[in-house]
Amino acid sequence: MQIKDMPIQRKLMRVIVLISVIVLLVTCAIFFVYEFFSFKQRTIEKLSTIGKIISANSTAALAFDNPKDANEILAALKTEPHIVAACLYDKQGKLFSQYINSSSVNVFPPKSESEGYHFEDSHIEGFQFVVQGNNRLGTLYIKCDLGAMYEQFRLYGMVTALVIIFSFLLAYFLSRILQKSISKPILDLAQTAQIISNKGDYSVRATKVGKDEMGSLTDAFNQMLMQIQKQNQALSEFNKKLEQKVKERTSELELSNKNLDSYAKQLKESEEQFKGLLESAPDAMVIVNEDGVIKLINRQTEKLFAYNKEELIGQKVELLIPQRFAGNHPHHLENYFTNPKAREMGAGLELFGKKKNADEFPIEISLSPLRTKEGTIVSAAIRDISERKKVELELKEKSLELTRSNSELEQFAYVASHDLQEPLRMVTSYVQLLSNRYKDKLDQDANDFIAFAVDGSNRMRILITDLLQYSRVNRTKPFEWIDLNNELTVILKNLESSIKENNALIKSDPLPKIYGDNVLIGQLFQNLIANAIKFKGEKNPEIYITGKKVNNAYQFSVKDNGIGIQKEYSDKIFVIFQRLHTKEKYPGTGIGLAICKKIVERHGGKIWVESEFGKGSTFYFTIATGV
Amino acid sequence: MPNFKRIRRHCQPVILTLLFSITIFSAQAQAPREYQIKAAFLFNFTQFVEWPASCFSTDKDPFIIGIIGENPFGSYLEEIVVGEKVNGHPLVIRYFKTLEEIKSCHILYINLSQTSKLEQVVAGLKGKTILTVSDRTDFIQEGGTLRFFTKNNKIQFQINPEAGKKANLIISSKLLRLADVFAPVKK
Repeated sequence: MQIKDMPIQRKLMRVIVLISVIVLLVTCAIFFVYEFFSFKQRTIEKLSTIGKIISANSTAALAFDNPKDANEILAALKTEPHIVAACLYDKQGKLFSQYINSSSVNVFPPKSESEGYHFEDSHIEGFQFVVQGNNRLGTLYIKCDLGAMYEQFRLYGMVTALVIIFSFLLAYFLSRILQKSISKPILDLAQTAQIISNKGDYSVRATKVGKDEMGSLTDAFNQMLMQIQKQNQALSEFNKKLEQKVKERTSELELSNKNLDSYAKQLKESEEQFKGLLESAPDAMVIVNEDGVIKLINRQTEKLFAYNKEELIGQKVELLIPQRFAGNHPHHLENYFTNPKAREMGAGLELFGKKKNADEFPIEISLSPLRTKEGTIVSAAIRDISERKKVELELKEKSLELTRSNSELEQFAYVASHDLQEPLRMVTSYVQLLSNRYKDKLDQDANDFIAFAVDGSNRMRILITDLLQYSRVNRTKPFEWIDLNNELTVILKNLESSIKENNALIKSDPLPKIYGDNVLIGQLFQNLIANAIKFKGEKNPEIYITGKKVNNAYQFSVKDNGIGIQKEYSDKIFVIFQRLHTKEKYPGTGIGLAICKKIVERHGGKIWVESEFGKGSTFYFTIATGV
Repeated sequence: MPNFKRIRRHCQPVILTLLFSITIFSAQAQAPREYQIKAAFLFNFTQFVEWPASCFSTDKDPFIIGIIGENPFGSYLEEIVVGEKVNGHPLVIRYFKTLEEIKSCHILYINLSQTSKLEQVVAGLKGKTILTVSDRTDFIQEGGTLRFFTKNNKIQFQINPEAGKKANLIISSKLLRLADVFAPVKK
């Protein structure tokens, strides 16, 4: 296994052990070298000291030529077993005394003239002068083997080896324990990372042990995990959405693909239909682009404008417009295209078309913009309204005529009834006089005749009064604001005797103020209330009046519990002189409701009745707000 | 020429030795070998015995080896001490005929005939810081300090430490080691 692939624990241990062993080895090596040199030095010093002692002791022996004594002195070297040989030379350099402690030594070197010790191959040897006072008496030679050094070094070696082994073991066990503080968090982290990568579970978190670099690494790792988790979540959500979208899109696409074919078919069909439609349209259809160029027309157009299709397509639409309007037309067209919207037939100004032969004719145009690939185009449906215009004109003339004759008739009626009043009053008063004075003085027939004449003249008087009233409705009087609540009080006062007589109960909501002719309005309400009382049923009449604003008009109602009106008569009752009952049952001229209708119309409103036969009726009418 | 240099260096002691032996040879002609050794011993005693400083009035005072009686060393002793010094005091040899001549002396070799009155001499030197040396057999008994004798054909010496002490001398133990130390039987 290569070092880089080793588990971090072993790496750490190896580093620690290796460092301690190397450091120890280096220390020991230095110690050895130092010891080697210092041992040599010490050996020399020791030897020199021994030599000094021996030479000092042996001065007398040399001075007095006593080799025996010298031998004795040298023999003292026995205590130092590594000194293998020693000898003394006398003044003349002759061997004076010797000491041999090893069989290996049998020859002594000649006396040297220089003092000092030095190392040879396997031993240290040296010479020392024997001096007494100032006299040199001889020379001492000492030879020492290196056994001591080797012995020392062996000892050192053993100690070193033991120390190294012990240190190695100590370092091993210490590193085993101490490396955990470094390797454990790393291993934990690695394990966590392994778990995460195996399971893909990013919710796992590494436990932080300390605040060292490993701690911050753990924090960073956890933070990274959190971010990954978040992003994963976002990603999966996004994926889900994306899938959903893809699914939707796919189905949409499928659908649209499916539809596309049918669309194409439909398109073709609709194109055909469009063309058919265009042709079948009752109006002339002209399709124009933004530049006012005619793109398409139908046969009706050809007919209407008396052009051929080829003469119109590609031409400016102004060709179909009279000269006096054509100048402004491009400007109108531009305005239209800034806000294109459908415009109904008949909206706007009176328009004219121009035929090929320059004849002008009134037209109505409806416009509808179409957005196409080529830009917005506008289709114009053009209708020739010459006929209608003519009819309209005739109608107007007729209605004017009618109005004139109507007013003449009213004038006539008014004048007639007004002028009729005077002779009628005379007839009435004289018939009455005749009745008063000659009743029962002639025969029975005469009595009957006179009675008929009185009755007839009375009815005629009422009729003429009503007619006068009716014809007065259209006499103009300036409108004013009317408080209907006050007006109602006055009306009820006018009808007081009738109300009492019939035990009628009249109720009213608060009524609005309206703008109108107060006399006519008063008459309107009075007629309706009087009618309600007059056509009472078996019960006492109960009348309820309301008034409120509905849409742009005031709508009023007068509700009763009277006899009601059959449905088929609900329009008839407003026609003048129309009566549903005999004059014996319900007297009247048949003008009252006609007057009401006229008054309502005079005020821009309409009148109608809703009724259930036998249960009661409600008369409705509206009055324009008047402003 | 390193080789030649080495040869010269090696040769030098040889030449010196040769010269030296010639002088020895010439001296030998004057004194028997026994006295040559004794002369050398006499000189060597100066190295192993301490004299009190009071016996020198100045540093320049000579260290005197006196010989009373006949001079058995010939010129040999003189040759040995030429230029030598003892603690800065130049060594000189003096020859005395009578006891009275001795005024200042540090080693005195007494070579009087057997018949001469040795006890007188010793008594006369009593209280003086002198190392007395003699060949006479009764010398120690008579109160002398150091006596030469020959044994196994070797010249040896006997020392009477008491006498040395009396003469106010300090004799080195090294010297005593080599000597036959006289120990009188106490009465």
